[in-house]
Amino acid sequence: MQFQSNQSNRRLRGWILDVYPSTPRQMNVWILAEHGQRLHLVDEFRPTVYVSDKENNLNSLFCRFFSDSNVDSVKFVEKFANPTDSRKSEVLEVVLKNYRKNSFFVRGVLQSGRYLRYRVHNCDLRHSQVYLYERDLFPLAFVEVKVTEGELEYWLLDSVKRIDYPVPPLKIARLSLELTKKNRLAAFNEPLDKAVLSCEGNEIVVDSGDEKDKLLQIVEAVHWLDPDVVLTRGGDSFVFPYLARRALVNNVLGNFILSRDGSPLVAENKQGKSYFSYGKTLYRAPTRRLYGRIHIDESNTFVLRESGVEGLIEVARCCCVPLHRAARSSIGTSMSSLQNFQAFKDGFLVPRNKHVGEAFKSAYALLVGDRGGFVYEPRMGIHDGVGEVDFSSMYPSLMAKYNISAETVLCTCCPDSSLKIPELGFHICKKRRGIVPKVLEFVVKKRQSYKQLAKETKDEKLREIYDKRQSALKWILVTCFGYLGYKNAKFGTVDGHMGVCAFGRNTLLKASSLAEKRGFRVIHGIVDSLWLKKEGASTENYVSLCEEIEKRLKLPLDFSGIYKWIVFLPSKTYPNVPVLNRYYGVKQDGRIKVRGLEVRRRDTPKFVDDAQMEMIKALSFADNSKDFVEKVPNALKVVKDYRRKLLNGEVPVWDLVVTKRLSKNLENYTQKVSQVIAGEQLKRAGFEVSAGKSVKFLFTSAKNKNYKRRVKAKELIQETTNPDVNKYLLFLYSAASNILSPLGYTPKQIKDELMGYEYVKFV
Amino acid sequence: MALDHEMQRWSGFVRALRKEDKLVFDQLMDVFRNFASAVSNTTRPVLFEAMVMSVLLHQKKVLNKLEKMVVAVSKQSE
Repeated sequence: MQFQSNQSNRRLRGWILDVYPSTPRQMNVWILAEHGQRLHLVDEFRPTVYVSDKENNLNSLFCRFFSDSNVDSVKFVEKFANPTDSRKSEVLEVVLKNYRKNSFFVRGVLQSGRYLRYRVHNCDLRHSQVYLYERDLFPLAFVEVKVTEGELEYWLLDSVKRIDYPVPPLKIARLSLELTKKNRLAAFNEPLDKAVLSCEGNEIVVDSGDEKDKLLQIVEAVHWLDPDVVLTRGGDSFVFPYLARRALVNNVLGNFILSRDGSPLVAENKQGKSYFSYGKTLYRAPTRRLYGRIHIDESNTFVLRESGVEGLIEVARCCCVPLHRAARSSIGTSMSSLQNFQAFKDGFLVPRNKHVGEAFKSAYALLVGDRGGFVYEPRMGIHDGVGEVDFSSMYPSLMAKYNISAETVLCTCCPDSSLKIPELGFHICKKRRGIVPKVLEFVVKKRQSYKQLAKETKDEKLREIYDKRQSALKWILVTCFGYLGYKNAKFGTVDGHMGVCAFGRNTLLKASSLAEKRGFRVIHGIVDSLWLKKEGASTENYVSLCEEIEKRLKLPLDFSGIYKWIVFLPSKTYPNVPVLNRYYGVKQDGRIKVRGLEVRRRDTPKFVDDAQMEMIKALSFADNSKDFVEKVPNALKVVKDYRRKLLNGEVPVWDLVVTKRLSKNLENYTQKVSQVIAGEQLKRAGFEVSAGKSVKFLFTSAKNKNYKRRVKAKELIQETTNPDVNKYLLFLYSAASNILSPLGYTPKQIKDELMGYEYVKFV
Repeated sequence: MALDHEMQRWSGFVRALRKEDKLVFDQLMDVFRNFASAVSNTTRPVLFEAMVMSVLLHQKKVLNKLEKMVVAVSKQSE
């Protein structure tokens, strides 16, 4: 519903659902009113950028801007121009007429100073987010809005710090399509067969009439159900581009309006983006928006997958990122929005580029400082009664505790500060609190509150909500340390990044020393966790140790339980050397913890995954290491059963499908590895294959001389396709031997033992 | 990484060893790998120093163990 002009000066209350710019001076705001109406409001918005001059002479620029047709107004203001500034300086505040001319204007200013003299601030921020920052609002905030002539006035009736905020009654619909497939692959030239739209128990199936009718019926159905959130699987990469293309083919593109604000879908052929993150090449399809509604593609969202709708709302609120963007963006993007929001509040300008470089260091200082967290090599083998203690959010807590931020490490205001980074000796500011620690303190505290509430509440539903919210915040905390050292993090610092590691190493060593003083042996330790053992130690002993460490180090340490038994596995390359993060064990309460095994890997076929997990479950009945050895035949029986199923053809081929990610484009591979063969098959069949995409395939003849026959892409599997049983048996034996390697089992020994069991049957 | 690089520097030495000596050398390298965290925490520019210290420490541990065993055996025989 568009707000009418005669309704101006009316006040209304509701939640901010979506914000986006449209015409050069307008910002669209969708309000989910408390009485259930969905209101479209329009506010005036002109982007503001700031210009500072290294030579402190902005007068000539001021005169130039005065006659610039892109500039609406210009004035001198006092601001903290750089994150490291301890005093405000004079900068030019330039209000532009058209947000679309923003980058053109910025380029002009930078060119006029030969990219050296002038610095432009707040120029690369999302306009929708700036609109919210400037008004101290956030997505899904409960507000009171006063509509005056062309302008909106807000009263925030909510707080980003609130943990008991009311969630608006969002109407969530799911859209799925079926195509009249002539081939096995869904392609844009295949006509639409059926569309299903379900929302709050209503299901609308569109399958009658010709394709044109079906498309128009989808539009009708969407308008009738009027959802706030539309969930799709593949909406960005296929569903909406496909629907737009079919609408174009049927000459109804102009009427194919699924958004609330009346804008039709666009049939453009936008390319997605392949990018590299944490050693992986990933692919992201371009965002398809339904203005006024939130479209979330479940196959293109991390937050929703990890923390559900509750977590997504929490991230959107905390980080001030609109819902559709929060769903798709990486946590780093949300994190930078949170920091920008804080910078706005504190009167700091957000630089266009990161200015705080790394301090000069000698080679020896780099050797000392440029290291990660500390680890204790695990003591290989099976252990009884080991307790695990973890520092909760160790790195973010250290960053908050020691005030680590770009503007505080090696600050110019207090070079004699007594707060120093261990080993490196860099001083940290004691006069002001950095933007990064301020932000993290808020997130850490909020997460702790949710964890506490989840513990205390007896309401299952509420517990689930709190859990999802704290899990969403956990991801922010998990990424904050890496983000501190990221080259484009505007409030990041490499020296601070090193400092966090140094504080972390120090903390773990101090904690283990305190544990050893109490008679505990350190079995294993990784960065923020310790596995400790003491003969006859009870839960109370561990809890008391945690309390002492917490009191001494002033960092929260959680006791996560005692293991009935835990197995630390050796390296596959060096059987006498232990490796970090490859272990499994069963806690006294029956919980199983597995790290680094096939069950944790994404590329493991379900068949192997199930077999390994079932083996661990068979072993989990053991109460101690002696019992563990006695349960080994039960685990081997599991392997035997799975082997029999595979040999008898009882395993569905879908359970044998392997998933691998393409780290580069197909033409850049020099070897015909399995994922490349499958990728080439898909490409020949008309499928779009690019770096970062996952390819699913079945091994059909892994050792075939003709490489094309070695695998079959999942989408091309037919009823006559048979798996390469020997290859999958090898996977099975390897997974089994990994678990039992401390007892000396190799894949060959597993095979021999199983052949022994079934010798009579098979000969 | 640094450990592997250091070991690579000794590849000529290893190539010239006899099979039985190569096995012992591999055992020695495993000792080194077992102390990798402590080695990295020493932050010494010359990694070989830390390698030697790891081997010395391991040998001392083995000596202590053997000493205990000898004492136990001699007590039993008394």
